[in-house]
Amino acid sequence: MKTFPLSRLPYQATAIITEISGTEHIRQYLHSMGFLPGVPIVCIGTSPHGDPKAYLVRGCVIALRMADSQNILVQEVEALGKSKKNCCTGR
Amino acid sequence: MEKVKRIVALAGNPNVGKSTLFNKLTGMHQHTGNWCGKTVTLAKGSFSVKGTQYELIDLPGTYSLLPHSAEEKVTRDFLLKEQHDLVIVVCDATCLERSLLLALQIKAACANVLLCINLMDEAAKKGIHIDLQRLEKEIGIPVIGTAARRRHGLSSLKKYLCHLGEAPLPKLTKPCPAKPSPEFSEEDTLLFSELAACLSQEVISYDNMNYQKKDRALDRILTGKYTAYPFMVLLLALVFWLTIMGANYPSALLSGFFHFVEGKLYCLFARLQAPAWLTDLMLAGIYRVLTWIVSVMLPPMAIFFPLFTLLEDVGYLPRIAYNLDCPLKKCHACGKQALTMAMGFGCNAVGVTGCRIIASPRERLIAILTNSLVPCNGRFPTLITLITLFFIGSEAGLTGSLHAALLLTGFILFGICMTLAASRLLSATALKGVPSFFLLELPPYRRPKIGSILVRSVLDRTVFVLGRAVTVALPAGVLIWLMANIPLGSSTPLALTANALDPLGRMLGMDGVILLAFLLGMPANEIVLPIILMTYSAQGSLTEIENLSFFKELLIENGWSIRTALCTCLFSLMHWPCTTTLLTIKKETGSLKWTLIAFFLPTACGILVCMLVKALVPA
Repeated sequence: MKTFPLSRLPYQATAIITEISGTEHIRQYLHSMGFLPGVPIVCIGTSPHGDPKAYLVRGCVIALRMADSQNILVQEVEALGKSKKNCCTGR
Repeated sequence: MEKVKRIVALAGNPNVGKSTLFNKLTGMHQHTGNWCGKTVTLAKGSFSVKGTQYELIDLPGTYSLLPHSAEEKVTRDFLLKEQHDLVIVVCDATCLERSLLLALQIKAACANVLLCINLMDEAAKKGIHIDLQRLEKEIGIPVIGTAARRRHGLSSLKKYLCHLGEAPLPKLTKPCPAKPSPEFSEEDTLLFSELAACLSQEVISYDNMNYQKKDRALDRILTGKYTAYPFMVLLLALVFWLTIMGANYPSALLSGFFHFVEGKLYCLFARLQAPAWLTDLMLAGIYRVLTWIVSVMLPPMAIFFPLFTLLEDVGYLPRIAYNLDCPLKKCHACGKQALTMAMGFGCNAVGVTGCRIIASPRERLIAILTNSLVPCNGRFPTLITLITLFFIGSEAGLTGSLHAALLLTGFILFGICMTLAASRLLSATALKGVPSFFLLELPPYRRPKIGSILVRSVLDRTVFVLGRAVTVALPAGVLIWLMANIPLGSSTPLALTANALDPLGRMLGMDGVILLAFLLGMPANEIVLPIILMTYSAQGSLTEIENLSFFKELLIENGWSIRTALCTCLFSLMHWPCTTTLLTIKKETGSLKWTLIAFFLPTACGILVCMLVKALVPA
């Protein structure tokens, strides 16, 4: 499946995070906010100016600017909920 | 037997109810609100269970032990470097997976950790069930479920502390001396994340996966393309309208009452055969100013603060930051500045401290320097009173108050525009740079607790602000009375100073007395209008304070026009910050240079705008 930057994820579409780039500082920050490879993410809203956009990650709503969400690569999936099981591989 | 004081730290993600839990346990009144970054400093309080003293420390919320902003660093440093007996990691039951990420990190770094799953009531309402026993077994540290706002689960929490209090203290030494600052590698974080995902999958069950439906519907309106701005302005105007409308009657009632008491006091002083100067100092100098402050400021504050706290509790403030991020980004500032601006409505000093939630030092400085361009509650009464007196005229009742509210909204919007302009100016000159990384959490909407809002905002904020105003006004009242009554040549010091300032005041569309009042009002902006009142009445014939319209007559007698009122309102909106704010700025920036800029930037804006008004508006 093809990957693309999170900033291009359309409204109400679901995707799975595949890669996070950017400086180490930003990467760490995004990790601590729950943005990690394998985690499903949904675009759930747009601010009145179109930027930033709001995303649902691990049950929390996080707003990101387009310029910043370009650092996050995702892979689209069809429906919400199906992907959840894929991330549980650690144990 | 001498008991040891146990130190208990509260840690967790932002906005999970740490401060609420802190308040419920200690009986204190830390300010709480539904948005991330409410608490930016350490708060300490103590309580005792069965004879053991506990010192509770409320840490600023953090997402990880790898700090991103100044306030998160406070938490990390405390957890890793300071001595403590127990860390209570507070988690959000409605968003457990992310909370667990931090919990696992803290568990790895600190010795004694207790997991407190807060907001269980919210989760239950949303149909989210958490198997606490299972979680306790899987994660290997004690887990207690609470709903701090309803006081649920506090007894089991205290019971656990009791158990801790009785046990010997084997781990009283520093929590992890070997690793003063553990660096979790990216693999570690990934591992924690997978662990958190697994744990939460095992212990959480949902009745309904669409539990956020209502929030999303609200978001569509409050942050919608065409509805967001109208709603913001409407809400602002509504809050002001309710304030002005509701404050009218109690204000009149209070001032009538104080006038009645004043008559009685005069009688009393006469009967006691007090010297005339003492009667004059006590009644005309102090009593009138104090009662004026109370009758004019108390009613609007008692209405405005609860309404504002309501918006804060519901979770609307982060939506404002979300809506305003784009314009702020265009000014090369951070969207979170909208949050610090909103805090400035309460108190600019608090707003300045709150700027710690902004991670980029450059953007934080911009937010600090421009914060005083939103009027704090000390300046609201000035604005409301002048608007009511001069811009509404004879209109009374509904249309009048509506008109006033719209005007006040206009002033505030103007202040916000000036903030944007000043931010843009700063980022083009002294603070050059491009917008940095921006991330903002939009918390779930929460049903506000009306009762506690009322108690908290009236008791904590209203009385506090009023108390400050009174304590500052008292010496100011004496000072001004003295300045007006000590003869100096053929004049008085007050008249001389006012005269000296007069040319400058006139240039700005005001007069010397108004400018003097702004200068003397530096310790607290609340007393600017009372000083004007005192100075005018001390200079001319002393009129009786029968009702508020007396004040208008006095002002007009002293040459006020609508333009004077407009300039005074604008200058009140844009002038030097009060001393408390300046000291806070000095503390936050650690530099005299930026403090001076914070002094001159809004002042320059005010002077510019007032001179423009003077030139454009006929007197």
